[in-house]
Amino acid sequence: MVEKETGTVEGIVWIGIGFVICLLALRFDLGSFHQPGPGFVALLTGIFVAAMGLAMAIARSVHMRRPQQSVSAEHFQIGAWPRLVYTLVLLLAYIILIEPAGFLLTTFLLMFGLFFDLEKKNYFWSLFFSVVTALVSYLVFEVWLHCQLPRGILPWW
Amino acid sequence: MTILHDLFYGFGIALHPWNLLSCFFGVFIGTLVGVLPGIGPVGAMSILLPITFGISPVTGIIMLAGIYYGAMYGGSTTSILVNIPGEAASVVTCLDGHQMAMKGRAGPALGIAAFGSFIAGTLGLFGLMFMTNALAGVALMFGPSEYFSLMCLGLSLITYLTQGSVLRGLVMAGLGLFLSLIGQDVITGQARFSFGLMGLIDGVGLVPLVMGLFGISEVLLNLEKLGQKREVLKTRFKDLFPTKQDWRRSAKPIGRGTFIGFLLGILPGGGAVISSFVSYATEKRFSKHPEEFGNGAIEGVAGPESANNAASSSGFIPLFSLGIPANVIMALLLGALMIHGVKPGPLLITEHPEIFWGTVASMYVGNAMLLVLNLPLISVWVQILKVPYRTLFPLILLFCFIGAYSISANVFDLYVMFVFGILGYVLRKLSYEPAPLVLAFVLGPLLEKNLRQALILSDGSIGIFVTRPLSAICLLIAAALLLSAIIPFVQKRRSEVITEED
Repeated sequence: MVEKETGTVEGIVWIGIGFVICLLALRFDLGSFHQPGPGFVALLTGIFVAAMGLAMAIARSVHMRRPQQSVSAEHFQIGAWPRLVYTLVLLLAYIILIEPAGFLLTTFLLMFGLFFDLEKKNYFWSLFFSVVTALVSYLVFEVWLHCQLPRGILPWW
Repeated sequence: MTILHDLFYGFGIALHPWNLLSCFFGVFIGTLVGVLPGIGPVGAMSILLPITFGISPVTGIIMLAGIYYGAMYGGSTTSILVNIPGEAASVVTCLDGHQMAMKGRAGPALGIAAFGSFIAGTLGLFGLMFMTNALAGVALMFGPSEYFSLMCLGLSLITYLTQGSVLRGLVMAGLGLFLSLIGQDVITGQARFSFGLMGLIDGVGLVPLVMGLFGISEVLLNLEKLGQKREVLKTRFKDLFPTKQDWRRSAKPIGRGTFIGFLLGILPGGGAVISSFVSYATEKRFSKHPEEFGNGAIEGVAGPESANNAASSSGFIPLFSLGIPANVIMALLLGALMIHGVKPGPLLITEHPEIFWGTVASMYVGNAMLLVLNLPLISVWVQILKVPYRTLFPLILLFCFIGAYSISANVFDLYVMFVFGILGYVLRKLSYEPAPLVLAFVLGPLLEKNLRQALILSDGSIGIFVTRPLSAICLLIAAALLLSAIIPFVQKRRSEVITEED
């Protein structure tokens, strides 16, 4: 019962997304079949996504699909959510800081954050791995491969 | 004779020291990512894509292709020794490969996987040489309607063959198509769906999208399994050579696997993963002792490993002859070629023979390198397997960031990758496969252009798609595939084949 309801909600979500795509497409010239405009394919795509959502909702309602393919509450369990959130926050901070603070410093901080969490909170090893990783990646990608990595507050590097 | 002449020309390019080095680097990285669970060839290729910008297109493509077929070789090592597939095409190798290892026959399992891969990969290359030329000739007759229908067929096939529900696959394809429309209109040049963001005016970048959906999301999923330990079974180099009986039992599976892999690899939407499953099912059906399958039958290793390598060779055919990628990996190669200003399609062989023949010849060289890398150096890969994932995943994340940033030195690409990383994680948690999304994203601009051109040419008549024979056939097959997925019997059979992957 829960699966059936979740499946119907899933279908409705896709109908909504399809509807939004259609609305966005309507802001552009649709043209005609003789001369399709920039919004033409987007409108068809929106209709297609909404139609698939509708088919999903109907299929769930009439039990056409295998139960194990349904999204159950059990299926969407996040096994290690504190670590997941911690990692995502670190990654977001890395993106925000990489240009102002520079590649070397932010990479060191990111690596330290990740290794510290994983190396059983061991400061020495986390520090060691982080310094080595930041330096080696800098040498390989900036010095050897000439990728233009941001210098930030360390302009001489 | 012309082909031989062209092949020698290709070897002249492939044996250039830089190209040779690039090939070695590619197959080495390919084997590495194949061996290591948690990062596949798609992620590795996207990470290394920016490196190819500073080198010639042929050197870059040789390296990227090497990663792809190298991963097919390396994937079997992890499947056999740890019972964890290094990459998706090696899932089926776990079934019998690991059972052989448990019975003390890890050596012959690894050996037959490497030899089978070598034979199939090399035979697949013969097919690639002959068929690309022939298909390119036919493709010159294609018009916009044929291209449009062929792409619809490709999307239907990948949707049909991916794990889980067809409807979910189709929704993913629709989403990918919409994402591909972001940016400038292919015909009028008008900016669309950029929401006032400068970074979206040129559209969503392929590399940040792929890295997010495959690289970041894979890491996020694996965070849940960090506590799991891998038990690596021991093997020695001298044990690696299969016995005469092993060869007798494996000869036909290698032949059949090569044939199946080659055919399925050509189909848009097909590829290494599905061909390894079909090969396994075929071997089980042909075997006089089907009860041995799942308990260490060498045929269950030889067939699928040959099939995935043959498919990795033939997957290049639609890309080089039609300009249509058969799978996500080929989509990345298409992106790489286009960044270099090379347009894959029927004219590629005549306009850029160095790319086609250089790549083909390098694949012969690369296959030989892989045999050396995978047999005598097996103990090195086993050592790498012992590196815990908790040490690897920060590095994978860092490489993803560097790869996405270095494409255009734009931090916006990092945000795109981050967003698609979370999206990929959620979608995969909900059993949505990202492959149809990526293929639709890559094919989207071509699909839109050909649809609109076909409608303009036909004066607005949608009949053009069904009155032109080739176009009609493609659409008919696509419709039949999708409709068949809702027929209960076919649905049951499809589910049985695809869920074996679990």
